[in-house]
Amino acid sequence: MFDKSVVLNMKLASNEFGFGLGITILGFLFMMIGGVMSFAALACFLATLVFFVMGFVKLFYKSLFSNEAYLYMSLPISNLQVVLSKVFVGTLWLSLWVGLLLGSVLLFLAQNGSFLEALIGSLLIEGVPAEKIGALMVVLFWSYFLAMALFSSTLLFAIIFANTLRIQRFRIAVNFFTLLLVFAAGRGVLYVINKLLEQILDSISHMFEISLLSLAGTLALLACFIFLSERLITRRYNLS
Amino acid sequence: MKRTSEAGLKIPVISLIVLIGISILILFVTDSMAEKKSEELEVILELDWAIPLGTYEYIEPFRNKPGLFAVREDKQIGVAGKAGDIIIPCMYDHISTGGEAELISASLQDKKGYLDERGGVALPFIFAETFDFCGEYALVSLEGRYQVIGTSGEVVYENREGYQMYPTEKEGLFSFWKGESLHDEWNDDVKKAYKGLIDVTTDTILVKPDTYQEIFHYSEGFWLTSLYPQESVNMPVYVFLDESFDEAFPGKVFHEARPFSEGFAAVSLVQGAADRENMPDAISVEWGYMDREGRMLESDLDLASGDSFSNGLAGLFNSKCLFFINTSGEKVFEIRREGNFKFAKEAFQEGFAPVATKRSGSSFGYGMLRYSMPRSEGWGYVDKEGSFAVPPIFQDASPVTGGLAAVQYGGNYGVISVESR
Repeated sequence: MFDKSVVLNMKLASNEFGFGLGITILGFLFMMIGGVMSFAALACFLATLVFFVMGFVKLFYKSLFSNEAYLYMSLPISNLQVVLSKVFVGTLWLSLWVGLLLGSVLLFLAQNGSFLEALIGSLLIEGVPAEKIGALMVVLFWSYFLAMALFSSTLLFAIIFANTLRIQRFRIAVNFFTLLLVFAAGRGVLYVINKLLEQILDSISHMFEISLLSLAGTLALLACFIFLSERLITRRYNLS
Repeated sequence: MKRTSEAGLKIPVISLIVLIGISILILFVTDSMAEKKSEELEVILELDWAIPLGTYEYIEPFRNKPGLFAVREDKQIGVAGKAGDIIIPCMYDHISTGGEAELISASLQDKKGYLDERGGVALPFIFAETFDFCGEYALVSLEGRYQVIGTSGEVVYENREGYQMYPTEKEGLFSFWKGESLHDEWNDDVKKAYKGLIDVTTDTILVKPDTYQEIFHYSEGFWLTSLYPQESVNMPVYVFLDESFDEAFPGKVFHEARPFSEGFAAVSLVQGAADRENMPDAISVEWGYMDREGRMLESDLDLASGDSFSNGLAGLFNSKCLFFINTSGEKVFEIRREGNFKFAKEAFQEGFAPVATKRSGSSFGYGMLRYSMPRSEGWGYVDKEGSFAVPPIFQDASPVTGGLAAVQYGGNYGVISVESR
């Protein structure tokens, strides 16, 4: 049933996210042409941002707290599966979009030499052992996905939290400020974890260990947001 | 799998498998890249660094002043010595590295002037345009008019006629034309851009501006000029003039030519042309090296697009290799290509030539959507026996001057000492 929930969530905001991705590709093409078309590329990237905000509103808010919630909540799945499937789909769309943006930027940077080669070269020059570079890159790859998942889960938790406060007035403002607060809290926790790690370990020679522990911290924070989101839905609405 | 299917976890499981697959791929690719890079770094550490990598934002050697380098710090240019010590502070917008004389052309806030090699201002920054000194004379532009000045700043040639001018490779002689700008040769009235030659020391016009499209290059007693046959502007041909400005090799029509160097000039002769006014409709050319008597160097090799001789060797390349020949037309050594290698950027200098053996990047797409793939040049230095004195691992490499060469690695610049292994 979890698969069906994922598919349903994919379909929920596929138009918004799909358009967003399409416009990002268009923006990338404009960027390649350059000149005056660079402004068109900028407009495309801004439009993409709007489409993605609309997509997340539909995925995380409308299906849980508007009229559409009645249909969605009739699915025979647990609250944990509701939260997990939404975070999973949000992560997927976000990873595709950020991956596309990062890929296009890296492709342009690569015109002056292989970016990956330059990155590996500079890591080696900094003193990172050669035998740990491959593992470090894998950790960075997973960090990227977990960062996307953490973003999605933070967004979902903030929306659930703001809408379970039972504040009827200024709902958009309440949502927005809750979002800011939750993001700031999440970032703050990660910052403290990373700073503590840097205090304990030398940041260059232990870059792999720091990245790995940072990854574990992100994972713990992600689990925390998912757990809290599930608890809030269950306790406040008694949906189970 | 059945349990997974029953629980409806197919999508997460497939996603996880894909991510693990990508992770394994990343691990293998980056590990092998790190291993290769680590080997390169070991070689780099073994090199004798005069100026370590990353000391300056950019380094360019002076072509004719061994041991001096134009360097950039905080986007401003200065001059450093062979140990990296600053001789002229980094405060200029541009410093010319091509001149032979003691005075160095530099620009500061849109004005140009000359510095001495100790960093003092030799001639004030008042000019709109300056060229390098050739011997005792340099061409400058002041208040919209070209003039020739001496090393003390005294005006040697006033240019009352208001000619457009350009320096040549012979001291005291300058190319001039009657057009209104440097770009006249692209205008319809091509004759306005025909160049003459003036001796500024005696104020004598040596060649009238009515025949030659260009007359700048001089070496080993010959001027290399170009002109349009039958007033056609489609295809210029090259003409060598002797010291008396008479045609040196009448009867030979050169489709392309390079200045004489070490007794030979790389030329491509138009086949079947009795003279340049009677060219065949379909032109076929044959490349080779011509000596000062007009005799072609005999060789069994394909000598297309050859470089000039330097240190007794000239570089050429074909689809399979880069090779060097001696002045007898024999192949001395060759370097097999590993990919789409680049030709030696400069000829041999002080016994070494910078050579790239690896792929130099390719591009795809059309027009404005043309995209260049990442470059991965491997520039190194070969000695005259064809051995790599410095392995081909650098992004860029300058010619060797005073035993030193500026190289680029990982976007950083440094200076190495180049010696035979």
